[in-house]
Amino acid sequence: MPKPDAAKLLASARSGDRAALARLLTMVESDPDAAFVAAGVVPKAESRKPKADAHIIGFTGSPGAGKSSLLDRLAGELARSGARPACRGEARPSGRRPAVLSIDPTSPFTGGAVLGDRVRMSEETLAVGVFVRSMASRGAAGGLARSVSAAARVLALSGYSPVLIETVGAGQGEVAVAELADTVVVVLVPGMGDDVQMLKMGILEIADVYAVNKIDLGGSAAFVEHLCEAVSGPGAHGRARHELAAGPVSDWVPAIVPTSARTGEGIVELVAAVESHRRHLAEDGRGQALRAARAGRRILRALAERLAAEAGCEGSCRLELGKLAAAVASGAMSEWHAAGELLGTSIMSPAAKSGGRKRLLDSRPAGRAGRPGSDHGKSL
Amino acid sequence: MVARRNNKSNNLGKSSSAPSAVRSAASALKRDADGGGRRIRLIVGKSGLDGHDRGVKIVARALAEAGMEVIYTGLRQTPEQIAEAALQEDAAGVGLSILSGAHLTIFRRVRELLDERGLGDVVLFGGGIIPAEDVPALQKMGVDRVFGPGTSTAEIADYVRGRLGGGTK
Repeated sequence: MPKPDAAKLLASARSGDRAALARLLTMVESDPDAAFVAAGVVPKAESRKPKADAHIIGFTGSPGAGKSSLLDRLAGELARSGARPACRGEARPSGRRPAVLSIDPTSPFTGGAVLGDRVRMSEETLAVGVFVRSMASRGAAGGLARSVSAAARVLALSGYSPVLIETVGAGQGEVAVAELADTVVVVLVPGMGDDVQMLKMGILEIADVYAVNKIDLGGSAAFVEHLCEAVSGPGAHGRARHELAAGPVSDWVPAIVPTSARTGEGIVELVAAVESHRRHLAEDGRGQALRAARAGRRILRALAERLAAEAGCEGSCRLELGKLAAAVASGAMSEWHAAGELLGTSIMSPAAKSGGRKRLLDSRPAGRAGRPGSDHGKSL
Repeated sequence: MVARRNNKSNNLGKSSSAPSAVRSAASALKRDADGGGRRIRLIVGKSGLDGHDRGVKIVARALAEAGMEVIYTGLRQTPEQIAEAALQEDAAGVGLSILSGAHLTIFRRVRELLDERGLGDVVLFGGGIIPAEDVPALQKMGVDRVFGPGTSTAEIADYVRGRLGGGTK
């Protein structure tokens, strides 16, 4: 079979060919650039620039919080709601064509993955035209996969919006989704800790909307109350406060929506909260300013990952690594310090050494290279 | 699918010496940084009113341990859901576990729906409790391979790698 052409696949996908879209997504998973090459070629054929302004909604939360089930409900409701009877009384589509990207972890040992998020996708949701794609994290840190933003772009170019992105079940610190999504929904469940958990930073900070799921199990009232305290008042959670410091002032207070993916309770309210945030972003160009700031953070994350991946360690570096590993294992030094030692003794692979990456490394203070996402927020 | 777990593939819990662990982690990172190339992606699931999923879960896990991306679709999927999953996921193959006796009906329907979607090149295979005398009929309708009880997971992984890993997609 001849190698399919990304631009041709995109043209087919834009005319509604789901198999072509699926094939293009596979291509993009191996090479994120394919999405952008394709997008650059299409305008000539169609004589207009393809628009891709999908609302990107990130879904994150602990494993087992009910992200997949809630996403299934939400995607179905987004596709159906807003449908008005047409003049002849037939149901008309809502105008929204939701797509779902679900990420599950890749094994660090074998490179394989079990992608299980489709288990929660109901027949009803597929029947209303929701496109669901599973992605393996393939070694990316932070709860997403490296090609997620490119895959979201392909879906947007193919006419899908919103694009719902489900992260690898996150712990407290997997916050990469906040660097991509326009709206972040953090899914929580009652009974996963007391009010001290609410003080903790990380995942609780990144929400625009909190879904308190599994309310059918009871015990949600006190939890919602604690959460309300955490998102309002001084030191409140919610990322708008941090991100907008340098941009337009935001008065967005994170919404809290009690839900039950099992009974369907709260799903209409969840759609309303997400829509309300989208409208909020549309005012005064807030959304565009935020997108640029987040893209900057994604570049820095990609830079850190590329440095880690391309700093090959062969020969003498391998010997040095062995010594350092023994020292770190015995408690003699920190891995942070050891990484600095490796950078200092110039252990880059020959390819990296001769190329531009060496200069890139040299231009950074040795102790700071490879330190992702620490203190660049302000400068953006 | 009914399958016996392959003990050799289940050595993740064993302690290994630090340098080799470092090496394998580094090589995994390197592999992933290359975009991972093209992984074998396939659908594994069950269809019909058959709630026995221990075998299919073991197979899904074993294929992931063999380095594949396994999209597990779970229990009681309709043939339509399975065919649509194969399309959206751009899967190279579909493996179904059937222990209910409905294999002739389900495999035929899934094959039809795949072909309707232009997915004639998607390899359909399966296993479970399937009488030997039904295997020729299944093969005739386009089921590539049928694994019976007692098959080792290594045998299934070898088959999938050989059949789907050839870069034909």
